[in-house]
This record gives sequence, structure tokens and C-alpha cells, in this order.
Amino acid sequence: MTATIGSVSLLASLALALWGIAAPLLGARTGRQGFFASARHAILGQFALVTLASFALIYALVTTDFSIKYVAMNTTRATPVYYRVTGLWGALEGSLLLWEWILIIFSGLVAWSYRDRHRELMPWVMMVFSAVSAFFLSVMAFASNPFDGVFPVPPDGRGLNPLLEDANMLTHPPLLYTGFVGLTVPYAFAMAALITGKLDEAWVVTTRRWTIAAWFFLTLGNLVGAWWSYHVLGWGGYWAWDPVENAAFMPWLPATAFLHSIQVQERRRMLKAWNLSLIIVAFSLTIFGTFLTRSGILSSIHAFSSGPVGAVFLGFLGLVVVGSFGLLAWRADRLRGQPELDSVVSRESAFLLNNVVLVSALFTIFLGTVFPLLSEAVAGVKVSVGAPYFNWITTPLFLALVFLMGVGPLIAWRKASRDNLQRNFLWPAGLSLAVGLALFAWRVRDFWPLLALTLGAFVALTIVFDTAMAVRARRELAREQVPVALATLVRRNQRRYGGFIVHLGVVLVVLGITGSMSASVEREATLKAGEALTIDRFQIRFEGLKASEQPTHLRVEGLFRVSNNGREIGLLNPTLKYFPTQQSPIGRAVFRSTLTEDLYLILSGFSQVGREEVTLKALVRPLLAWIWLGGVVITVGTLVSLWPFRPRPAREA
Amino acid sequence: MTTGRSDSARRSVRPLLLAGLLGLWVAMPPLVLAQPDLDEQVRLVAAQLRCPVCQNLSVADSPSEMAREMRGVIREQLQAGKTVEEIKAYFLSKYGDWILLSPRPRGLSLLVWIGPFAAAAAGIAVAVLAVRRWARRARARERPAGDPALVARVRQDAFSPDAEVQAKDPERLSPLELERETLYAALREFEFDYRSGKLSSADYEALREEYEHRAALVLGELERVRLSPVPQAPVPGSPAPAQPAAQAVPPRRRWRLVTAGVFLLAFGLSLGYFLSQSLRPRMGEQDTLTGDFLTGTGPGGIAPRSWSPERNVATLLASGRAAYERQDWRAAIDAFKQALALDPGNAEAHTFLGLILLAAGHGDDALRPVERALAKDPGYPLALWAKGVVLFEAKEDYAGAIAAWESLMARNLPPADADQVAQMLTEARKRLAAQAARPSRAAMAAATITGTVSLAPSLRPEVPVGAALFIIARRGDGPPLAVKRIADPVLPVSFSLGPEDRMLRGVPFEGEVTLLAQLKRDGKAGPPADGDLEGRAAGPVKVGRRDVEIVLDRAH
Amino acid sequence: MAWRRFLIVLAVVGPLLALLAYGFTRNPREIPSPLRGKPAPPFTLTLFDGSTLRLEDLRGKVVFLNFWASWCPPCRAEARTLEAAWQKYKDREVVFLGIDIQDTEEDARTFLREFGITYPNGRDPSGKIAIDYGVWGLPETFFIDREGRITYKHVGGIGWQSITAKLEEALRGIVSSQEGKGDYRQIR
Repeated sequence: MTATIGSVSLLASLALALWGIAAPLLGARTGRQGFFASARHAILGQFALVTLASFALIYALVTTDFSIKYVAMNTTRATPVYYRVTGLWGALEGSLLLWEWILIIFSGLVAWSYRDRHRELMPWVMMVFSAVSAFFLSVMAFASNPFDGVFPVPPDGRGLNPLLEDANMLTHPPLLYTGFVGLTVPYAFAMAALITGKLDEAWVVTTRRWTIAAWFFLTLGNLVGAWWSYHVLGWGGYWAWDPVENAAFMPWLPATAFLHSIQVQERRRMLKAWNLSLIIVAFSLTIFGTFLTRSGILSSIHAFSSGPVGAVFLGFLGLVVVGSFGLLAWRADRLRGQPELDSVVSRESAFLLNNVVLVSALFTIFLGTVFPLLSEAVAGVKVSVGAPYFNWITTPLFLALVFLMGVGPLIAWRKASRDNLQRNFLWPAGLSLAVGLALFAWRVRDFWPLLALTLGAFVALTIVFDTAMAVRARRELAREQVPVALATLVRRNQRRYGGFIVHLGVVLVVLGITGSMSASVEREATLKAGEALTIDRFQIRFEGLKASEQPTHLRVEGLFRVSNNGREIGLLNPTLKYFPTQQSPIGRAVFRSTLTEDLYLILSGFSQVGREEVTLKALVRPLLAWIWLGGVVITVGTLVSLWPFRPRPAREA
Repeated sequence: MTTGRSDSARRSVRPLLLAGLLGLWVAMPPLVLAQPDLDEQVRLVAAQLRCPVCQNLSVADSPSEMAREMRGVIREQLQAGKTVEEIKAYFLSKYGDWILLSPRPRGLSLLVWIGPFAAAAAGIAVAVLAVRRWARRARARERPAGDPALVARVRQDAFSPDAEVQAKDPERLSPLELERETLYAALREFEFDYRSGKLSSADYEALREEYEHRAALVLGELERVRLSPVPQAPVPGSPAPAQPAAQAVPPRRRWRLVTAGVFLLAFGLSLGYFLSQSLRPRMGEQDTLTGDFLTGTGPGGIAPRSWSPERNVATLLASGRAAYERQDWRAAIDAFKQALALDPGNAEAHTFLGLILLAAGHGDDALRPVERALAKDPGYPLALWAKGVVLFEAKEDYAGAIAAWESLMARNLPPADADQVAQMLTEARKRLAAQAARPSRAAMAAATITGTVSLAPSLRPEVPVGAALFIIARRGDGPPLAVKRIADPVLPVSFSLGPEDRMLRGVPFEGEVTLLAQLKRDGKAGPPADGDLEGRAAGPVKVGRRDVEIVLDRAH
Repeated sequence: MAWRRFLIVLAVVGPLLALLAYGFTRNPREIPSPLRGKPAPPFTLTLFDGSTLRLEDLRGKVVFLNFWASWCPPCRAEARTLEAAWQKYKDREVVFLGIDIQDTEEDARTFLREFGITYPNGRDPSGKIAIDYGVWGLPETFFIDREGRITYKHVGGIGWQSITAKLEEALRGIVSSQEGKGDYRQIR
């Protein structure tokens, strides 16, 4: 029954989606407004039906309805309820449904928010949404239906991949999907602008907030993903430049470039074709990412199911790229303007450079990710492109970005006067160089970490100086106290100061990455009970093993008493989990996180023959916690820039 | 921002200071780093090698046995005085380029080393050239000159308090009004940048004048539009208002559009079709992804999408077998049932139905169809084999399985099959022996504690669905020795705790233990939470006792 | 003009899609060996009967070198075939040699007894020989000709036909142009 409801509503919304594509075309042909309204209704109808289907699958998962194959594969009777719910995105079919659901929620929100605005653009926006939705719905209807039955009905299900039984399963996939899908909003508006030829700034201004939101979810999704792999995969790292990670990260780069360059377009009506290309690339990369993770053409440490849908995604990717850029090519004549700049040295130029660096980084990562295929196809040599390469080659690019992040606030829009620039540069640059020298004198001796930290200080200082100057100007202008002046500034320039806070968050992330990559220490030892391992300032004494039975697995914990310079700081218990469905155990590392460093323990193995004995790997990774704090700061910054401080003006004001 | 002598002096000193600091920063002597110890050196080399058995980890990070052995080899070679490059070359000669996590810069791989820098350099060059051209274009353009009265109005309007509010809702503005708002915003930005010290007064004056005049021109245009209902004429410097698309497309263009659409659709469909035809899901880790469509190799190929109703028993059986192979139980059952409809006594179909039931986890019902097949043809090898498998796996009746397989061995089997049956026979005999050797019931009882868990009358029996009762045996206060989990218990409940409940193999279950019963509402092991019940057996319990009573008498 | 731009788009996107589609025909986990046609890395192996054996001492004979482990199902599957082939070739200047990796001695001995294997076998407890031969799957078989050159490598279970054909080639010193592949297990 549940399966029937789900399948039927998916098929019905597919029909609606197809109608949603056809209606605006008919409307444009016949000139009847009714067709345009109908395109919007098609979206709202899909919203209702897909929501129904999603709830049907969730219901089936929660009630362990094993007559549905997806449920049988991804839950067991012993699975706790919340993991049953997360089973919705635990495997291919369900994650497609989740994607479609988020997409249609976004579409519904857009349809509702602009129900009486953008009369020209909206029908085509709706059409693009319907087209994307139609693709996902037909994949589900014809290639991998989440409501497929299984016969005979098994007595118990197979259960989620044990690696996915983690609290982050609740956050990471939905966040990342929301980020991916959120990019569909600016993409749909861009396509609508291209189709109608209404290529002014309206679509940019309208989708600005949507893009910021999507960018934020993308950022957070990636950070939470890094956090997840840090504490679950148990190798002590958080980012491996794995194809799957690259796939999730790549859309972030054009999205970031887009966020910056639309500010130039808003002010100067230039870079139109560039911005359209960026958003097309960003959207295509979300499809590319899905293709990569579902096709199994590259191997990855992350758990993903591969299936026949990879090919279908490739077809859709081709369709999107060729179609969008074809449309762009068709409209190129209208996009040609007479771009002007008041001065070579201006924030516009800085943003342009930032775009170049971001796109270069994208090119680098894309090339590195697909290069094994290229090498095998062209030269017949099977190569690997992994972390050492990416670290080496992207470090200069990302540091250039950090530098530009610092330069941006110092330069005025439109024109920078050399004198003022020099004066504004002086203090932040001087102070950050002093910081660099001090760090060198202390103990940071390698070039790249030192450069990263110096640049980080530079960014933070320019932001502080710029804000201080603005506060001073504000005080002169309005005779306000400092806090009031600051509040007024933030309220009046939400995007600017929200952006500053986000930049500070990025600096914290850079700080964390620099510390944890350049100064981490690692030790591995085999210990008998009572023996200790010393790493950095820490002494780790092995106290014994403990085994316990969990609902889905057996776990063996090693108990380690940890002391810092002789002062005891507690008991850590890295764990190995034995799942009946898995051949090898799954480790769960534990770590003690402080602002100065993380102590990370991995139980590599144990033996109980004779005396208890364990193999322990310990890592000390300095400053790592700042990455997550950076994520918090980025969240705050995004909230500041999106917060509706002032009510929107009355409709007809 | 007055310009006094001291100020200008300071101005010339400051950049020098800055340059000095920068020089110092760059020239910082590369101090001699402490030589990393051997562990660290091993890690550094291992981090550059890809672990051959993992999905995508370096030898340094991988927990696999292979990676550990490889780290051992690296350590030995380092101790033998080899350089990092020599060690990398060694692994390269064994596993090829695949083993290096960053490709050697030669041949095609040069592309990944040069490409990014070339792209960045080209991008920066293009950007710089473009910026200079755009700036030159702005300088070459003549200054706009607006009506002085309107300029004054611009000054007033741009800084009026509602101006900013209006700019917030740009969607409702005409292109001209939008242009006006953009210019106003620019004027406000200059003002602010000037005040916060980012613009010099000269630049500020120049920019402000230009933008004020441009805004004045736009205002003039707006006035004209308001006075005369003539369609708007484009203003120099502002984009032409967009035409409605539908009318703008001439018939020839529309044809092109249709052709392009048809082409795109055909392109996408054919791509999707051919790719999905050429592929099938990997059956296992070792399987390749392609079928025989692209490469002409590999087993299987494409699974038939829908079953076509052929009326031929042989075809039905073949398609059933194929469906069985790819574990599509429903299709397999359909095919075999249809075969049985045509030929009710078909032994193969009966046997396969039994095997499907077994594979799907219904081992109890699997024997019946197999017996049916054997009733039809007592010597049918497949059915004999299946009977053995069902007895072996589902019923643990090893003697029965051995009997079935032995009568199978008596027939003339192909050598490969005979090998497999022989293997299974050895295994079954082993298990039979183990079964026989298993301690007798009495011996089992001696190593088991049995008893009942009941609820104290003072506590209300509220056992939510999903709760579980844990009976935990400890030695003293040590870790749990044995744990029994009873899901959804109905109290009072009887239990037995024996060697099979031990947490760790190898630790004997004997002597005296303390017994604790916990009713956990969430069904999971772990410390008790609110609402969980607990009870202990009085005093230590000797393994082998039969009548232990535990009363759940403590609520959390 | 628009058409020309459209063609440019196709020219950029087309090859990219083709490349990604090509990815479907590859298995990213397979590692091609650079050892084919190269001299076989020397080693000294302690056999299960306690004696030692040096690969160099077998120069002048063709060596059939098989890496295996008792826990690997395809190794079990091919074991009888290997023994039968050994019986056929042992008088023709061919030596069969088994190397047990990632295994316990007890399990390995049980395996040899179970399949009645008579050709020499030894253990490689530190995995050094396996790394020397670039082993990544199990079983893996190397054919070494009289000059001590590797003529053929087969990953995964090997069949009777391949064994005989490749042994004949190795006897004549012919280096195969490709690797062979059968059902294999990733080593641990």
C-alpha cells in the first residue's frame, strides 16, 4: 500500500513535471496567460506529491516494511528509529528522492515568494525547475525506484552501511544536498533570463539571497563532511582530496566566484556572460558530483553505492552543459556591452582577480580529479592523483585567495587613490609582517605555514582596520557611540559586514588547516596493559580492554589513561566495532579537542592471547578545532548578511 | 586629513618601514630544521604512496595489513641508507605509476603540473588586459554634463533617508529607475569611502561630480518619459530595455530554436540510452562495470528489462535461471511458476523454487519444493544438491545433508562439480563431528545459570515497545563477562546465561559471578537512563545454578 | 555566428563527456604491473618442509610462481587445477612454486594437506616477496622463463588452458602482451 502510494505519486508528479515544461512553451506560442499560471501550479502540485512520496518512504522505513526492497536493504528490525529515518538518504534510491524533495521544496518556495512578481521570468524559472525535477523523477520512475518491491518478503532487512550509523548522518547529507540544490535557484533564474532575453540585473538581484543561502549550506555541508570523516573514518585526517570530496567541493568554487562577481555586475552592469557561465558551471558541477559518486568510475574512501544511474546522470550532465552554454551562445550578442572601469586599481579589479584564482583552483581540482581517466585513455598509463599533489599545487592558489581577501576591504569600489591605499595598507601589512616575524622567532619555521599565518593575520587586521575607520566615519557623521555606530553600520550594510565575518571564519579555517597539516605528530606502538606511549606532551597509558554488546554490533574498547605533562586529563576509549554484516571491524577513533591541539587515538588492533595487547596509533594535530570554530563564525556571518533586519517595503510603496 | 610637514614626512617613512619589514620577512634565514626521526621519515615516504588494497588512502594512513608490511619495507630501506627518491623508485618499479599519489612530471602527466599554472597565468593576463582596456574606455569617454538643477536634486535625493529603502526592492522598478538607484547607491558609497579614508579628496570630488551628472541625465530622461507617454528611448550608458521574448523571435529563429531543442533532446536520449545499454551494475567487487556492449567481454551483459511471455518451457527455465543468477527473485519465481504451469512436474523448476526460498531467508519452507522435485526424479542431481544445501544451511541437519550429497557423488558428476560437492561434504562431516562433540545437555547445564526475572510489586510494569532486558554477569566489579539481551520481555521472564553469551571468547564462564538485570527502555546496552529498571541477584551466584531469582526493584 | 559558438561549446563538452563515459569501461581498482618482460626479483624462500630455496637456483627452468592464502576462495578454487598441472609438467623443466602470504602457518598447512599439494610451497611472513612482485590481489601467478624473465602475470584464479598455453610460451621464452584476469580477492 505504502509502495503504491509512493510510486503513484512519483509517476503523477513526473506527469506534472512534463506538463510544467510544456505549459510555458504553449503559453509563449498562444500568448495565453493561463498556461503560465499553470506552470506554477504544476510546481505546487509536484511539491505536494513528492512530499507525500517522501513521507511514504519514511513511514515505510520507520515501520520496517520489508516488502519494499529499499527498506529491506537499508534497515533492520534492530535499527534505532532515527537511523531508520536517515535511511531515507542512506542509499542511492532514497538519496535521489531526498534530492528531488529538497529541489521541489526550493521550487515551491520560489513559486510562492514571487507569485505576483517577475511576470516575465517566472514561467521560465518554473519550467527549468520542472525540467530538473522531471529528470530526477524519471530516474526514480524508470531506473531506480525507491518503492520497488522485493519478493519474497525477507524476514529481516540488511541494514544501513555501518559507517553511516553516525549522528552526522542526520546533518551532512541534507546540508550538502541543500547546498547543491540551492544552486538550482540562481541557475533557473539565469536560464529564464537567457530564454526571455531579459538580461538585465533583475535575476541577479533577485537570487542574491538564495545564492548566499545555497553557498552557506554548501560550505557547512563540506565542513560537516570533513568533521564526519575526521571522527569516523579513523585515519586522523579530515580531507583526503578524494574524488568524492572534490566533487562536493568543486561547486563551491564557482559559487564563491559568482557571489563576488555579481557585486560587480550589480554596480557596473558588466561581466554578464561571465556570471551566467559561473552559475551554469556551478550547477553542472552539482550534477557532475552526483554522477561521480554514483557511477563508481573513480575509487573513493567514502561509502557510496554505485549503480546503473551513473550513465543516466552523465546524459543529463551533457544535456545541461550543452543546453545552457548553447543558450548562452545564442544570446551572446545581447550580452555584449561596453564595460567600463573608472580605474585600474579598484575593488572591481580585485574581485576579478579573485574570480580568476577561484576558477584556476576549480580547473586544477577538476583536472586532477579526472586526470587518471585522461591518462589511461590517452597515454594508457594508470596514474593516481592524490593528496600530496593537491596539497602542493593548490596551496599557492588558496593563499593568493587569502591575500586578495585581505586586499579587498582596503580598496574602494570604482577607484582607489594611491595615497589612501598606501595609508590603509600600512598598518595591517606592517602588523601582520610583525606577527609573521614573531611566529618565526617562536617556532614556525616552514615557509608555507608561515605565509599562511601571516596572510591570515593580514586579512583579520584589514577587516578590523576597515571596520574601525568606518565606525569613526559614522561617529563623525551621526555623533553616535561606538557600539551604536557599529550596529548601524552592520544594519545598513548587512552584506558587507556579514561578508567580513564570513571572511574571518575562513581565516579561522585556514588557521586550523595550517596548524593541523604542518605541525602534526604521529606515533604508533604496541602496548601491554600498564605500558605507556609518549607523544608530544602527552602520556597515554593502556589500562585494559572492555567488550560490550550493542543492538547492532559488538564493540571492543581500549581504555587509555591520558596525562598531559604528568597531569592526568582523563580516560579515552578508542573502539573497534564488529558488525555481523561486515568482514573487517570498523574503528571509532576518539579525540580530545582543545583550542591548542587535538589528541587523536586510533585502536589499530588488539590481541587477547596471553596478556592483553593493543596496537595504538596516536596523533597530535595542533589547532585543528579552529576549523570547526571557523564554521561557526561563517554561520554567524551568513546569518548577519541574510537576517531580515528591516521589513521589506510595502508592496506598492 | 590635513597635510602638514610632519604628515608628509611620516608618509615617506612609512612605506620604507613596510619595505624593511617585508624584506626581513622574506630574508628570514631558513634555519636548520631538526632531522625528523625515523618514524617521521617513514611516514613522510608512506604518505606519498597509495595503498594498493584500500579504496583511496595512502600507505601512511591505511590500517591494512598490506600497508603495514609496506611501511616495514620503507623502514628497512631507510635504515639501509636509501634516499626517499630511491625508495619511491623501488615501489614504482613494482606497482607502476599507480602507486605514486602525485604523478611523475613526465609525458602526459606534465599536464597536471603545468596546466594549473598556465591556466592561472593566462587568466590573470586576460583579466589585467581587460581591466586596462575597460579603464581606458572610461577615460576616453567624454564627461557627461547634466542639467545643474537636476544635479542639485540628485544631491538631495541620493542621501534622503527613503532613498536606501527604495533601492531594496529593485524588482518593481523600471530600467531607468533601476539605473538611477544604482547611481545613487554609488554616490552613497563614495561618500562613505571618502569619510572612512579610502578615497582621497581629489578622487572623491572627481568621481562624485561624474556620477552626479550621470544621475542627472537619468533623472532628465525619467522626467521626459513621465511627461510624454512615448516609449522610452535608451539612455546613453544604460542598457536597452529588453524586448518581450515571444515577439522578438522572428519565424526563422524559432525554427532554429525548435531544431536545437530536438537535437538536444535526441542527444540526451541517445546518450542516456546507449550508456545504460552498455552498462550494468557491478555484481561484486571484482566485476567490471561494462557488459559486452562496449568491450565485447565480461559475463552476463544486459539483464533483460522485461520478461517476454514465451510459451516454451526451456526458455522459461533459462530466463528463470538468469533471473536467479542476478538474484532477481521475483522474476525468477515468475518464470519458474510459469514453467510449472506448462509442465507441473518439472524437477528443475521445483528445485529452483526451493533454492530461491532458501536464498531469500525462508529456509524452513525450502525443503518442500525440493522434495517435490525428488519425488518426480529421485536421481536428479540438482535437486540432490539443493536438498543437501537446504538441510545444511537452514536445518543444520548435517547427517541428512551428507546422505543427500553422497547419493549425488555416486552419480557421474563433472570433475569441477564433484570437487565442490566433495568440499561441502568435508565441511558437513566436520560440522557433524563438532555437533556430536558438543557437550551433552547435562554438561551444558553445568556451565549455565538459569532463573527468572520478575518485577517488584511496587513498580508499575511499563515496558515500551523496543525495550530490552539485559542480564549481565560480572566477576566482582570487572567488565561484563556474559550478557544476555531479551528484546520486548514479558515479565516475569525466565532466562539462561551460558558460555554462548560470553563477551569475549577465551574467557571461561565459570566460578562465582554477580548478576544484574537491567530493563532498558531504549533497548540498548549502556548506562541506565531515566525510567530504566534494575535489580540484582542476592549475593554471588555460582555458575550452574538453576533457580536464580532477580527482582527488578530499582527505578532510575 | 551563434551556430559557430554552439559548435565551440560542443567541441569542448563532447570530449569531456566521452572521457567520462570511457571511465565506465575501466575498473579503477586494478593495478597494471610493470614487471612483465622484466627480470624476476630474486628471493630466498623457506619452504614448509624446512629447506630453503633461492629463485636464482632455478635459472634454466621455467618457474610457475603462485601467490596464495588459505582464506581466499579463488585460491581454493584453483588449487586442484594447479596440482594437476604440476603433475603434467614436473618432468618438463618446469618448477611450480607457491608462496603463502598474509596467513598463519597452521591454516596454510591445512590448506596444502586438504588439496594434496605436492609442489614446493613456502611462507612470506613479512610480505616482502609479495611487495617485490607488486602483488595486490589473490591469487596472483607469475610465469618466469629460463632466463629468469617474467613472461606473463595472471591476477585471480587461473584455468587449465591458460596454465598450459602460458607455460608453453614461457618454455619458448615468449613474453605475453597482456595480463590475465580471473576471479580475485583484494589482499588485506
